[in-house]
This record gives sequence, structure tokens and C-alpha cells, in this order.
Amino acid sequence: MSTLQLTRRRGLAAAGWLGPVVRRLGSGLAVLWAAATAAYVALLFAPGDTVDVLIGDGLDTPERRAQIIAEWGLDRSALEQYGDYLARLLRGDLGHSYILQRGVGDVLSSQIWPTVSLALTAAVFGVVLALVLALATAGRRSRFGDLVGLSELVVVSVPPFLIGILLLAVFSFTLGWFPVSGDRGFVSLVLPAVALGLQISGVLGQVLREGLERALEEPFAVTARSRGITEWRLVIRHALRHALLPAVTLLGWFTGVLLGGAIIIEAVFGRPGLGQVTVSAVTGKDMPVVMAVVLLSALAYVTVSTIVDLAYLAIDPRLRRSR
Amino acid sequence: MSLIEVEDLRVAFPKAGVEAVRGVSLSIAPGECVAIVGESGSGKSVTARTLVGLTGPGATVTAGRFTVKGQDALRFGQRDWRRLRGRFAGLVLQDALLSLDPLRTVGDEIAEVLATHDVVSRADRKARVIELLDAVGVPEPEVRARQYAHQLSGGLRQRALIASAIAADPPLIIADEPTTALDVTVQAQILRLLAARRAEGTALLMISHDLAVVSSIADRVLVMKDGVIVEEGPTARVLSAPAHDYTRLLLAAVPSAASRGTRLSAIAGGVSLRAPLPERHVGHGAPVVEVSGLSAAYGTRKVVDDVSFEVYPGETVGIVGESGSGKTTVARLVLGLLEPVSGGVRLNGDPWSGVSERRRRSRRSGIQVISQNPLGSFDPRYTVGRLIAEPLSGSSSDRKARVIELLGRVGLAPDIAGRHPRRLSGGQRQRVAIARAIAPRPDVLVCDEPVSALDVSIQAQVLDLLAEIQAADGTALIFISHDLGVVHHISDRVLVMREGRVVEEGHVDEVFFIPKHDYTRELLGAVPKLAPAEP
Repeated sequence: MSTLQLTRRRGLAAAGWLGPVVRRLGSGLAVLWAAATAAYVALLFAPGDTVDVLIGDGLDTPERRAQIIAEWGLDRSALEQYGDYLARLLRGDLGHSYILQRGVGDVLSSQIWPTVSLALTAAVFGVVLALVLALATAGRRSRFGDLVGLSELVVVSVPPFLIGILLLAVFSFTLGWFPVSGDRGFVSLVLPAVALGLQISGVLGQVLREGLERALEEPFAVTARSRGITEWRLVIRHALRHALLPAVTLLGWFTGVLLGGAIIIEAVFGRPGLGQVTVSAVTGKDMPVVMAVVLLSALAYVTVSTIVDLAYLAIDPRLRRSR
Repeated sequence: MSLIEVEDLRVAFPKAGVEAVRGVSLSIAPGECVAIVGESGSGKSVTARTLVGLTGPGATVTAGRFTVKGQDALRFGQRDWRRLRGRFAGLVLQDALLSLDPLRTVGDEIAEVLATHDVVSRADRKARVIELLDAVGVPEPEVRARQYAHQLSGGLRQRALIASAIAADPPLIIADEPTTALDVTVQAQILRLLAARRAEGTALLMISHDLAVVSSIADRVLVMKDGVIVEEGPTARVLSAPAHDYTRLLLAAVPSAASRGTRLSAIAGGVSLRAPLPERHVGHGAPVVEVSGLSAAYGTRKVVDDVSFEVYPGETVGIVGESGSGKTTVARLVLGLLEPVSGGVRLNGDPWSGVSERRRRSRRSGIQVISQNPLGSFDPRYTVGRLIAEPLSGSSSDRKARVIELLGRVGLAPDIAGRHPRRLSGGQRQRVAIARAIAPRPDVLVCDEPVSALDVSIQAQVLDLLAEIQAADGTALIFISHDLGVVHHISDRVLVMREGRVVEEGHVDEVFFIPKHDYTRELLGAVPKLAPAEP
């Protein structure tokens, strides 16, 4: 008789979910709209002529200038331009890169999967490692636990690119187990994902262990023990959910680490991906691509923070129906 | 054969350098009700938990003899203890809001015992959970089983906690302060429920700080202090003819109708109990506080409804009621922290509610507050001296002298001024709160459950202190409490509140001895009396 089954049986509305879900989706959309508008305002008020800004370091010809004016509707009123811009975004049209001579959507979609697969692999690796270590060491003072705690501290303090270089030196150059660079399937994903995921596992592991240990000292843990359950069951059935609450809060921070970290890790391992695209767009002043990357990271953050808020509701019934 | 027999039990926490239990012997026979009574830090809870092997990490347990169900418990491993927990002894702790997992449904919590000890088959578990909730008197058990602890009232979740303790039908229930956080009527219900289990043959070990609570149910009482049992015997004998000084002190410290006008605590150095309190003069003429037709609401919910009363100089007006009755809201209104929806408050004859805070500020020294949890009302970075000096004016040396004088009045040494409140005991903190409250020489003190978090002997000292201050300064008191004994001891007049309304008021003896309203009668009937259990 699990709680989730019961929730499902009673329906979303009855369990106090409907309101929060609708509210979260609404505010998520509002944030996306605000990000799009901010990017647009930044474009309009960037120093110099808007056409110059959009061309960036691309080829500057009268034909192209005319094309940009027509495409962005720069000859029309500000309000009309803005409406057009939002309408284009809604259609999924992110504009045209005048440096790469390709549609921005096209540029991003060809580069997004290497980054997403790197970020997801790193996240899964980091979360699994943190969970395993926290469960293995929580509430027990042992030499192994001390060692894990120390390693977490080291991993958190060392920047991922340095870890990446160290991993390369050991596992690629010396042992030759993994390729040095490029994107050649899963094998080439391992080292970058480990470099990126270690930091997550370091922080998450500490938070999880602390949460577990705090939960194990609560009065309800005494009650649970007084029923005769094993320590392992107590951790899995009771303490883990309590430890997940502070851990879930970190999900938003993960997104930042993964996005920012991916750019650096992609450079270290010579991998294709959004990181490379962003760096060259910024250095080449390729404004349409930069704007699209801003919108994309806003989308990532909104998605994650919506998931975080809903995860709170799933984990902690006290937050449902709270007014 | 006894269920549990232990001789010379010693429990130490070497890391903290504490020996919590120092040579306790006790036995519990099947169907017997034994109570351990003591104040915080007496080692009573540690003793109870040790009996089910839950002393906690870092503890060393030794005993001359320790048998559970005839087996040698000193040789038990974790696996042996686990088999006994829940099956042989069920544990009921204080405050089910914390003692039930807040993230799991009540039904899941109860089912956990059934699953751990294979009491019923998996398919029958759900039905058994509902039977158990029904058996402990939870209405609509099907609905309640799907709810979480925070969705239940204090009484219902305590019942649910008891249901989980008895799910595997253990021959022994260990109840550690099972009614401490509850209203008096709910406390009576929970005690009746435990008594009913006992009548069905379950043995009961009750742990409590409250002699009255255990006296109605226990066959034998063990009085514990500093890890040692100072007195034990049949409940009737211990209550009527206590042999040990500490038991006498505990009994004398309990406030009631009989203790009016007398000291609850022994005077320092002396042994004479129940010495008379100094004379107190109640003024007539103009009231200090006048409350008329006061109403307040949070949103659309009316929490105080048409409350009127006056408080005269030197007088103590008690306000009693259960949680949610609106008594704390009345305190907030009187203090001018909340504006009434209608009606008004006058302080020393002038309007107090409905005027701007700027005009109230200079008069605020006339009305001060003492709350249940003083620590929450202290700035944690302030020293005691700075806390007390805050409302004082004058030169730095004047203020310093006055702080020392105030500390002396509340019975604290001058060197306390340099300490931080976090480093003080609960009783010392409440004394600091009183010193701060009387520092600006107020005309009236609003006391909101000022002794509810204190041990009975400390409570006695604080109540005596309040009486001394009142006699010396002629301060009026508005004394809010859920404890009818405390209110009867200290008050001249009393207001009984229920759902925001005053249902009865009058002289405290009249109201408590000849109650007119049904609710007052119900409240009074629920108060546990210091009387031995009926045979």
C-alpha cells in the first residue's frame, strides 16, 4: 500500500496537486517570456546600429543589410518588431546566423545532443555515486566513511577541468583505456562525464549523508526502530525521503554546474557541443546564436526548477494544499 | 515470570561524560502498570529505552541482571532485540507529530509493524490497519489510514501512534510521556485508552514528569532523580505517605486549589513546605486593563468573539482554554500586537487599541509579556545583561546597577549578566524573561503559558517568584494557561474560553468548584487528580 498508489487512486486534485502544478507551469511560462524579452531588449539597446550587432563579424554587404532589415522587421514600429519576434519564437524559428550562414535552430540542433548526453551521463553518474556512498556511510563512523568524506571535500574543491586533465593523463595517455578527444560513442563519453559528475557527487553526497544522519536521530526513527525494523529498512523506507528534500534543492545548482561545466569540459576533451558553439558565437559576436543560447539555458532552468518544485510536493505531503 | 527484570542497571554515555542511569532495579509483571516519575534529566526516558535495547549510539549498558521474557538480555545482539521490539513491547512516545514519520501515511506506519513481524498476511494488512485504528477509537479509519500525521488532530495522531505500538499485540506497552503535548480533555481520552488496553491484560510502563497523570492508572510508582530511584511503592502509599524528601517536594510543588496563597517551592535552605506567600493587595477603582466586546479574525475565520473583562491593579486574571480557543490571540490583542476587528482595549483608562503605534510606543513600558519559550524572544547574540538593560534608561553605571538588582529580585547571581541565554537552563531563562519584563516597572504583565515548558519543581519556583513580584510591586497579571491547577493556584478571577468566546467567568473558586457551563465541567472532569488508582 504505497503512498503513490493512494495518491493516484484519489486523483491529482484530491491530493492537493492540481493548484500547485498549474501555478508552477504558469510561472515557468512567465519566466521564459521574461527571458525572451530581456534578450530582445539587450539586442535593441546594444551599442551601435542593430543591423551591425546582428551581423557581428559576418560579411557586411548592402544585400545582407536589406535581408536583415526585412527579416527582423527593423523598418517597422518597435511594438510590431517585438510581436513579430515573439511570434517567430513560438513557431520555433530562432533566426539566422550571418556568420555561419545557417539557421540558428539548425546550428543548435546539430550540437545539442552531444551536450545533453554528456550532461545527463554526468548527472546519472554523480547522483548514483553520491547515493551509493551516502547510503554506505551514513550513521556509521568508520575509516571508510572518513575516507569518503575527505575525497568528497577534495573533489568539490578541485575545478572540473583539472580533474578532466588528470583523468586524461592517467586513463588516456598512460593507460590508453579511453580516447583522448572527439566524440566516438559511449567510450569517449566516460571520462568527460566522470570529470563533470564528480563535483556533483561530492556536494550531493555530503548533503545526502547529513540529511540521512539527521533523519536517523528524529523521534520517528526511534518509533520505527521500536517496531523491530532493520537499520537498512529504516534508512530506505524512512530516512532517505527526508534526506532527499535538501538534495532536491540542489537540482537547480546542478543545472548551472552542468551547463557551465560542459563548456569547459568540451574544450578540455575536444568534444563537439553547445559549449563550442557558444564560445565561438561570443568571440565572433554572433548575436542571433548568443540570444538562442540564452533562451535555451532559461528553458533548462525553468524545466529543472519546475521539476524541483513538483518533486517537493511528491516527497513531502505537508507542502501539498498549503496556503 | 516477570516480563522484564533488571537489577542495578547502569547506562553511561562516556563521550559526553554522563552517567544517566546509576543502579536502577525494576520489574514488570504481566498485566501490571508501573510508572516512572521524574523531571527532565532524571534518566527516566533512558531507562525506558534501554529496556527495548534502544539506548542509542555511544552508550554503555551494564546490569547485575537483565532479563526479558526470562532470557538474558545482556547477551542480546541487534537481531534478538529486533525480534522483541514491536512484538514483545510497543513504544509510544510524546507528540505523534514528530514520532510518526511525517512523510508516510498513518496506515503505512501501522502496516510496518504488521509486515516486520508477519502478523497477518500481506493481503490482510490493509484490513488489519483499519481494524486497529478502529480499536483505538479513530473515527473513519479508512480515511484516516490514508492521511498523514499533520492532517490529524493531536488526539487522533496520538491514537494512531498507539495503534502502531499495539499492532503486533505485545504483552507490554512502554509509554514515554504519552500525553505531554495534549490538551487536558484529549489527555484524559488517551489515558482512558491506555487503561482499557491494561484492562485487557497488557502490561504498561508509563514514563511521566506528572505525578497526577500516572496516579490514576499506575499500580506502582518509581520516583527517579539524577539516575537513581529515590522512592518506590504502591501508588496510593507513595502519594499519601511519601517517604523521601524529593517525593514530598514534588508533591508540594503541584499547584492546585489547595495550594492557593502558599509557596509551592521550599525556601532556599529551609525544608518547610507550603509556607504562606506575602500579602497581595488587589486595588479597586480604576482598572489597569479594560477589554470590551473584543473580536478578532484571521482572514474570514473569527478567532476571538466578543470578549470583555477588566484587570485591576495587583489582580491576577486567569484565562484557560484548549489549543485553538483563542487565548493567545487575546494576549496579542491586549499587548497591541494585533488590531481587533471590533471592540477595544484601554490601558490605564486611555485607548490602547485603534491608536497609532507611534502614540503607543511611549506607553509600552506599562504592559510587558512573558512567553512560554523565552529563548525565542531573546536575541541570541545578546548577553543576559544586555537583554535586561534594553528597556532601561539612564547612565551606563545606573543601568548596570539596576540589572544586578533585577537579577537579584528574580533569584539569579550577578555573574549571569555576562552569559548568553542559550547557556542557561529552562528555569533560569524564564527568570531572565521575568527580569526583563519587570525592568520597565510595568503595571500589567501578560503571561502566555509561562510555566508550560518547565519541570514541576522549576514551575513552582517561577510561580512563587511571580507572586512575590506581584506582592511587592502591585503588578497586575493576565495569566494564560491550559493547566487548570496552575490557574486555580495563582488567579483571583478566571475566564474560560472556547472557540473564541468566553463561556464562563468569575472568581476562580466559584468557577472551578461550582462550574455552571458544561464545557467548564468537561475541562475540570478531564484534569488528572493526585489520587491513587481505584482498586
